[in-house]
Amino acid sequence: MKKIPLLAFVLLIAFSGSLFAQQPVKLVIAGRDGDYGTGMQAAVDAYKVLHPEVTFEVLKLSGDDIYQKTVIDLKTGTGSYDIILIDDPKALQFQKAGWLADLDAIYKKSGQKVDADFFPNLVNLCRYPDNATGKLYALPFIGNVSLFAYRTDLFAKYGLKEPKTWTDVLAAAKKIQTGEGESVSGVIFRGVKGNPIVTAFLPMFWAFGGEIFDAAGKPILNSPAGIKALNYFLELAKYAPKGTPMNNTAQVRDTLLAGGAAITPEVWPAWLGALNDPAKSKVVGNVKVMAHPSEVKASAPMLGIWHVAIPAASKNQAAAFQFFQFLTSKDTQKLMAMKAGLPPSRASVYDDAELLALRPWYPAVRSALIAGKARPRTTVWSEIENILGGSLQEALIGDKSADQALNEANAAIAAILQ
Amino acid sequence: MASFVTKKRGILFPIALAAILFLTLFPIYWILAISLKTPLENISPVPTLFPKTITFQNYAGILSGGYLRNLGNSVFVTAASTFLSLALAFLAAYSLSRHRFPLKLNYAFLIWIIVAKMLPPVVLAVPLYDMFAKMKLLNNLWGLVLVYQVYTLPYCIWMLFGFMKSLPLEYEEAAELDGASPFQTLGLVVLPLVRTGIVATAIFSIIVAWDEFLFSLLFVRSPELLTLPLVIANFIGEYETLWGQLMGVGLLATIPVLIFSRVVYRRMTQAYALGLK
Repeated sequence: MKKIPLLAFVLLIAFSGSLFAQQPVKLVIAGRDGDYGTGMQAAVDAYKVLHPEVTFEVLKLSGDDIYQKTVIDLKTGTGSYDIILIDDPKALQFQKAGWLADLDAIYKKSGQKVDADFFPNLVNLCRYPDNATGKLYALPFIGNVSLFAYRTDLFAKYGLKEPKTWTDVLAAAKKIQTGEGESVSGVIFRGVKGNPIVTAFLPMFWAFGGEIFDAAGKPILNSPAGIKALNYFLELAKYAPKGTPMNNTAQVRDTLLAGGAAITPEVWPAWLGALNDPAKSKVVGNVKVMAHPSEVKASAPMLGIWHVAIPAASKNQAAAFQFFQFLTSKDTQKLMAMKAGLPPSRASVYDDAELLALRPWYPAVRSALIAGKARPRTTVWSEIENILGGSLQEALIGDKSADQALNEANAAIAAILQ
Repeated sequence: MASFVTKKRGILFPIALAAILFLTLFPIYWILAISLKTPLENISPVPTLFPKTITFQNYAGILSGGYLRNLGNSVFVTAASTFLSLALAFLAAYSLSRHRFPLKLNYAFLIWIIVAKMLPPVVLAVPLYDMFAKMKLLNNLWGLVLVYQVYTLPYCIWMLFGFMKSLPLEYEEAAELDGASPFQTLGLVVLPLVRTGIVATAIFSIIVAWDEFLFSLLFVRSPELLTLPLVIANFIGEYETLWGQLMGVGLLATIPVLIFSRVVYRRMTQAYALGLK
C-alpha cells in the first residue's frame, strides 16, 4: 500500500512535466521557389534552433503552383497550410473570400501591435476592404519593387551619363547597340504575353502619364499618353534581342548576369541575389541598380510584394502566429536579405551597414518602395493582364499598331468590368 | 517471292542516313552537353558546343535532391493505378459487352464515362479535393492512385470493351458446355484471349499516369511524395531555370522509359504473334 503514494507522485511529476513542456507542432508553409525558398529556409532553420519543438514542412513552389495549391485548399477549408505567401495582385481575392485569419484580432489577443517599422504603404496593401483602415490579413513578406539596371562599364565606354529620362535610355540603348553589334543588346526585357510584358511596360506607361483607370474606375489605357508610351516601348524594342516576345524572367536575368545586355529596364531585387557572385555573374561590380527614369511624370516603380498570411482554416494558428512574428522580425528580414537577397519590408533594415556592403543597390530599393505604385486593386487583375499583355505582345511582334493594340485592349477590359 | 527490301543503295543513302542520325542524335548530345556544363557557361549568350569544364555537379544536385525517391513514387503510382484500372476495366468491359442491359444502358454508361473523361480535369479537382480531404487521402500516394482513375479508367474501359466485343462468343460457350463456372470462363478463357488488348491498354494507361501533372500538383504536397513530372517542372523557376539540372533530370527520366519501351516492345510482338496464331 505504501507504493501507492509513490506511484501517484511519479504520475503527478510526469503529468505536470507534459503540461509545462511545449507541445510538438508541425507547421506547413506554402512558400516560393528560388531565392524566396532559400530565404524562407534560412528563417525556418533559425527558428528551429530557438523552438526545437516545432517542425516544418516548407514547400518551394513556383508562382502559379503556389496559387493553385493554396486556392483549392482554402476554398475547401481543408486547412493543410499554416503559413502562405500570396502575390500582391492576387491578395484581394484571398482577402475578399475570407480565407485569411484576421491579424488585427490575433495581435489584439496577444496584446501586441504591428511594428511601425514596416513601410506603411506596404502594410496598407495587406488591409481589406480599405487599404488604409481595413482589417489586417497579412504582412509584407518582402519589399519587392521593380527597378532599373544598367551597365556602368558600357556607359563609361560610350561616354554616357546615368539616364534621367526614358528618352535618355533610348539614346543610350541605340548608341551601345550600334557600337557593340550582336554581342551585347541595347536593352533586354520580358515580352511574354500576360503578366511579364505588362510588368515590363507599366513603369514606362506610368512615367509617360498613362493610367489604367480614371477616378471613376473606367479604363483609359488608350489615352494619348498611353499610346505615346507604347510607341516609345516599341521603339526601345528595336534594340532588344530578336526573341524578346518569348523572353521571360529567366531569360532576362540570365542575359543580365551573362553580360548580354546594356540596360535592363525592369529588374526586381529578388532576381539580383547573384549579381555580385563571381560564380554566377559575369558583371560583378559593373551593374548599377536604381529607381526608374522619369519622363513627363516622376519615376513610378511598380510594387510587387509578396504577402505572408495565416489561413483562417489553419489548425495551428497560435504556433503559426509565433513563427509569423519571427519571420517578419528585423533580424529575420536581415538574415533573408543577407542569405538570399530578399529585399526587407522593414525600413530600419536598410540602414544596416553590413547589408548595404553586400547589396549596394538597397538604397535604391528603399526609395522605390516609398515611391512605389501598386497594381490596381481588382479581383479581375489577372484577366486585365491577359488582355493587355496579349495586345502589347501583338504590338511588339508588329501585328498591331500602338493605337490599335491599346484601343482593343481598352474595349475588352471595359467589357469584362461591366 | 518478291522482297520489299532491296540491297541496291544509291549514293545518297549514306548521306541521308548521316543526316537522319545527326537530327536524331544531336538533341540528345545537346542535352548531355548542357547537363555537364557549369551554371555560368549555360547562361552564356554564345552557346558552346562542348563543355569548357566538364562538371557532374548537376547530377550530384539531382541525386541529392531525392531523384531516386521521386522516381520510385512515379513508378509506384503508375504501376498501381494501371493495375487498378485494368482490373476494374476488365470486369466492367466484360459485363458491358456480354450482358443484355435494358434500353441499351450499357452504351449510355459508356457515353457517360467518356463525357466524364472529356471534362477538363480542373473541373473535377475541387470536389475531389474536398472528398479526398475528408477521407484523409490528400498528400498520400494511394490517393494519387485513386484520383488517376479519372484519367485511366475511362480509357481502359473503352479500349477493353472494343477488344471484348471482337472476341467470338463461341469460346465462352464451349467453356460453359465443358462445365466452367463464369469466373473460370473469365479467368481461364477470356483473360488469355484478350491479353493483346490488355497489354495495349496498359501501355496507354501507363503513358497517361506517368505524365500526369495537375492532380499530382494539387493532391500531393510533401517533397518526398512528389512524382517525376512535378520534380522536373521545379527546375524551371520563375526567376531562374536550372538548365544543367533540368537537362540532367531529363536524361535520367528517359532511362525508365527506355527500359519500359524495350520490355513492352518484346511483349507486344509476342502478344501480337499469339493473336495471329
